[in-house]
Amino acid sequence: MVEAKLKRFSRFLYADPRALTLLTLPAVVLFSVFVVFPIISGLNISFTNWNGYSQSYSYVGIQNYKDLLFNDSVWTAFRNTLVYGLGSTAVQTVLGLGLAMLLVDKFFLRGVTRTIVYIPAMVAQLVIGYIWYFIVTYERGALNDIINLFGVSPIDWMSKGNRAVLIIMLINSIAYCGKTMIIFIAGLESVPNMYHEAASIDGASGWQAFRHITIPLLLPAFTTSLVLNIIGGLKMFGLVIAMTDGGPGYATHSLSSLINTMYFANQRAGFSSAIGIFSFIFIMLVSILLRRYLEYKDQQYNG
Amino acid sequence: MANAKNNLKARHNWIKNIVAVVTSVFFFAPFYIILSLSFKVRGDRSSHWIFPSSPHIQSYVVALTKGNIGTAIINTLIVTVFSVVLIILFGSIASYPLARHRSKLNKFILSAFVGVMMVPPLSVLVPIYRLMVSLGGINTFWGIIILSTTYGLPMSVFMFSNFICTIPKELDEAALLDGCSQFAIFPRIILPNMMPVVSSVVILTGVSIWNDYSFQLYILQKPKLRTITLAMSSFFSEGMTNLPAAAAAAVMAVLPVVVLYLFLQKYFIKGTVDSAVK
Amino acid sequence: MKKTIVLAAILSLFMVFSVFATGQKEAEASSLDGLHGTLSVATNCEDPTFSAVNEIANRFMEENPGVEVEYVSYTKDYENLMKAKMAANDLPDVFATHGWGVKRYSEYLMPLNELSFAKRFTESILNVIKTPAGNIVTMPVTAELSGIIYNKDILKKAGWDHVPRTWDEFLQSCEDVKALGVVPIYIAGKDTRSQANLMDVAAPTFLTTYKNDDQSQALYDGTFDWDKWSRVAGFLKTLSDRGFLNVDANTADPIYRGEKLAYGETMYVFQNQAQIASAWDINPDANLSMMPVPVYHEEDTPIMIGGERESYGIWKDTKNKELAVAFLEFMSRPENIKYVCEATSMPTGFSDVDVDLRLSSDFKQYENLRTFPYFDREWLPSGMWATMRSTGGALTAGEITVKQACDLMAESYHSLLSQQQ
Repeated sequence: MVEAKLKRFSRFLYADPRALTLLTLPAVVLFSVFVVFPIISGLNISFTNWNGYSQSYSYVGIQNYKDLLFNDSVWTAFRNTLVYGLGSTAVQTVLGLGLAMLLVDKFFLRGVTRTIVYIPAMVAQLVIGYIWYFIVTYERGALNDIINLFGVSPIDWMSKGNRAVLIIMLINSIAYCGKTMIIFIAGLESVPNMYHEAASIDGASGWQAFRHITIPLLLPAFTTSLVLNIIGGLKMFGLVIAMTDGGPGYATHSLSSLINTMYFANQRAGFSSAIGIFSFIFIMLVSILLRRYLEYKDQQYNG
Repeated sequence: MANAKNNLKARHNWIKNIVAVVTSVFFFAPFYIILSLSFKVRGDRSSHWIFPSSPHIQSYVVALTKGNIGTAIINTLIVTVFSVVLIILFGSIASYPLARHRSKLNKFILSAFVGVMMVPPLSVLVPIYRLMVSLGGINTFWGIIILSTTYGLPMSVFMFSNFICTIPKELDEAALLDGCSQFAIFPRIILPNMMPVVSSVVILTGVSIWNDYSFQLYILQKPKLRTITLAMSSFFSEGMTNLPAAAAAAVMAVLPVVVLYLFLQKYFIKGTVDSAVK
Repeated sequence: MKKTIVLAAILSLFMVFSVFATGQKEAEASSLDGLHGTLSVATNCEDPTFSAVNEIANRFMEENPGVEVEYVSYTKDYENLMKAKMAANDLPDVFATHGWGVKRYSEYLMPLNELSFAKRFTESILNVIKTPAGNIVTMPVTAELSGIIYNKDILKKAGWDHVPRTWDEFLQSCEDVKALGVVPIYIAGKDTRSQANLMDVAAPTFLTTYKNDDQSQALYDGTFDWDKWSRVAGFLKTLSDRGFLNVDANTADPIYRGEKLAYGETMYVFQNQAQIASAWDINPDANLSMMPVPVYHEEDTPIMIGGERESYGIWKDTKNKELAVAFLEFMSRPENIKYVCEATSMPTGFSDVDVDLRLSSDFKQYENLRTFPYFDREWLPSGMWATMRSTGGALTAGEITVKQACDLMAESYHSLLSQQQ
C-alpha cells in the first residue's frame, strides 16, 4: 500500500509536468511571506485611522477610500504617474530608437558612445536627481549659465508645478534612455538582414523599408520598453524626492512618493495604505493587459 | 563599383562619428559637472561648467574617511552578490515550469509575479518592517538579502520565462524520450544556453540592488552595516555644506557599476535579444 | 554550469547563516559588574551638533572601557525611520526627541523625574518637556532661543535704527531693504521646511500671544475657526506677492542659505542660531544677529521662540536601562553641556550651566521678553507639520490661494485630532 503510493509519487515526480511546479516553491514562499502578507496587512490598515506609529487606532470603514476619491493630491499624483510613465515611454522610444539606429552598426566610436549613453541608466535615481538639480537650479544653474550666453535672463525652471512635472519626466527619459536603446539595438540586431536586402532589391526607399519592415519587426521591443517604462513611472520615487521633494505643494508627487509622504510625514497611514491599495488595483489592471500580451505572444510561438 | 560603395560607407561613418561625439558630449555633461564639482574646494562659487584650475582630491579623502565609503562598498558588494546569486537560482528554476507548462496554476503564478514587479515597495514598507523585526532580520545581512531577492525575483522570472519560450520545445521532448527525468531537462538543455540572459539579469537586478535605498535604510541601521547609497546620501542631507565631498561620494558610488557593465557588456546585448525582443 | 550554480547556492546559504549567527552573538553581550555592553543612540542632528555629542560619547567610552556607544544620525530619514520603529516597538536605547518628546514619543519614553539632572532645568524648558501627567520625558542638551536672523549692517543701511516691532514695520523694512537691491527674506523652498518654519515662528503672534485675542483654547479643543489661519497664510502670501522673497524661493536648496547670510546677500532668514554659526563658518565677519518676533496686534509685545533643541530620551522598554541612564547622567555634567552648547552656538536649558556665546550680549536685552514654543509643537496635533510644509510651498509657488491653504490646514487638523480620540 505504502509502496504503491511511493511509486505513484515517484511517477508523478518523474513524468507529470505538474510536478515541475514544485520548482517555483522557493520563489513562491518568499513571495507569499514578503509580498502577499504585507499587502494584506496594508489592506487592513487602509480601513483604520492609524497614524503610522502609535500602538492604538480605530477602524473607520471605507472612509479613507471615500476621501481618496475627493482628494486633489491623489489625482494629481495619479496624473503625474501617468505622465512620468507614458511620457517617458514616448520620449525614450524616439530617443532610444534614434540612438539605436545610430549605434547598431560598427564604426569607430560606437562602443564608447554606447557606454556613455548607458552609464546614467545604472546610476541611482537619487543621484541622478541631485546631479540634475545643479543643472536646472536657478542660482548658478548650468542650464541658466548656457541661456545666459544667449542673453536670456535666468529662469527658475522648477518653480511651476506642471513645468516641473514635464522637466522631471524629460530628465527621467534622458537619464534612462540607455535601457531603451539597448532593447532597440537588440531588436535591430535580431531583424534578419535578408529583409533589408530583399527590400532594397524591390527598390524600396530607406524610409519605406524603415516604415514597413523595421518598425513592425521591432514591435516586441516597443512592448518591452513600454512595460519597463510604465513600471519605472509607477516606481518613480528617488528622482522626485531629489528634484522637488514632491513640491511645490503636492504638484510633482508620483503615487509612490505621495504614499510615502502621506504615511510618514502626514501621519495618515490608513489613508496612505488606501492609496497603496488603489495603485495596486491599477497595477493589476495593467498587469492583466500585460498577461494578455504574453498569451498572445505565446500563441504566436506555439500556434 | 565596390570602391564607390566603400567611399560612401566611409563618408557615412564620418557623419556617424560626428553625431556620436555630439551625443556623447550631451550625455556626459551631467557627469562632467559632478566630476568637476568633486575636485573643487568648499565654498567655490564658480560656474558648474568651469573645471577647477588646480583640482583638489581633498573631497575624496573626506568621503573615504568620514563617509566610510570603503566599508560601504564592501557591504554593498556582499548584499548585491548574494541577492543576485539567489535571484538567478530561484528565478531560473521557477521560470522553467512557468514558461513550459501553461497550466492554470502556473499562469496565475506568472501573472502574480509580473504584477509584483510593478508594486512600489514603499507602499508596503511598514508591514515589511514589522515582519522583519519579528523575524529578527533588522541589522543583519540575511534580512536585506532576503528582501532584495524577493523584490528582484519578478524581473528575473519575467526575463527568464521569456527566454525559455524561445527554446524549441522539441528539444525537451527528445530528451524525455532518451529517458531523461523532467527535472534533468532544465540543467541539461536549458541552462547551457542561458549565459547571455543571465548576464542581462545580473546587470538589471544587480544595478537596482546596488542603487536601492529604502530597504537598505530600514534594514541596515548600524553605521558598520551602511551601504553605499546610505553612505552617499548622508552627504546629500539637508545641512549639506560640503558639496564637493558629496560629489566625490557620488562618483565613487557610480564607478563599480560602470566596471561591472564594461565586463558584461558583450553578453548584455545578446541577453537582451534573447529575453526582451523575441 | 550546474555545479557552479549549486556551489554558489550552498555558499550563499552558508554565508547568510553565518552572518545570522554572528548577529546573534553580538546581541548576547550582557552586563557583568561595572558598565558593559553596547548602547544604541540615534539622532537626526548634523554637524556641528553631531560631532559635539559624538565627542561626549567618546568621553563616556573612555571612562567606561566596557561600553560601546553606537551613536548614529539618520538626518533627514530620522523621523520616518523612527515612526516605523515605533510601529514595531523596536527603538534605539536612547534617541533624540527633536521637540516632540511629549506629543509624539511620550508613549515610548521612560520618565526621567527620578534622575539627578531632573531638578536642574530652567522653568521655561520644563514646560515643554513635561507631559500633562507631570513626567519629564527627555533631557535637552541644547535649548533654543530664537527669533528671526537678521543682518545688522543691512538694516542700518536701509535707514533703520531699531529692529521692527510689528509686522507692519517688518514689511516696511523689507520694502526699504529691497530698494537697496538686497533680497529681504531668503527662503530655500526646495525644502519646504523653510516656508513652514516662517509660519511656525510667526503664527503665535497672529493667534495666541495677545491676551485679548488668544485662540489657544479653541486650538486645543478643536473649535478653532480655521479662516483665522488666513492671517498667517496671508502674511506668507504677501511676502511672496510683494517680491520680498528671493526669486528662486520655491526651488533653492538649503545649501545656499549659509552663503547668502555670510556674504550679506539677504536681510532676514527664519532659522535658529545654528544657521548663524554655519554662516560664520564661511565668513566670520558677517554682522548677524537674532531679533524678537514682531507682533500682529499693535498693543502686544514682541516674543522669542524657545524650546528644546538637541534632546535625548530613553526608550521605556530598553534592555540597557542601566547603561542608558548612566549615559544621560554623564552627558548632563555641566562641563559636557557647556561643551556641546558652545560648539553649536546654542543656549542651554540647564539653570546651572553658564554658556559663553558670541550672541550672548544681544540675547541679554531680550531677557525680559516672553518666550513661546514653536506654533505646531504647542497648538497643533503631531503630523500638522507636513501640511504646513506643503501648503507653505504651494502658497509661495502660487499653486493655491490663501483660502485653499486654510481649508487644507483645517482638513488635516480634524483628521489628526480624530486619531487621538
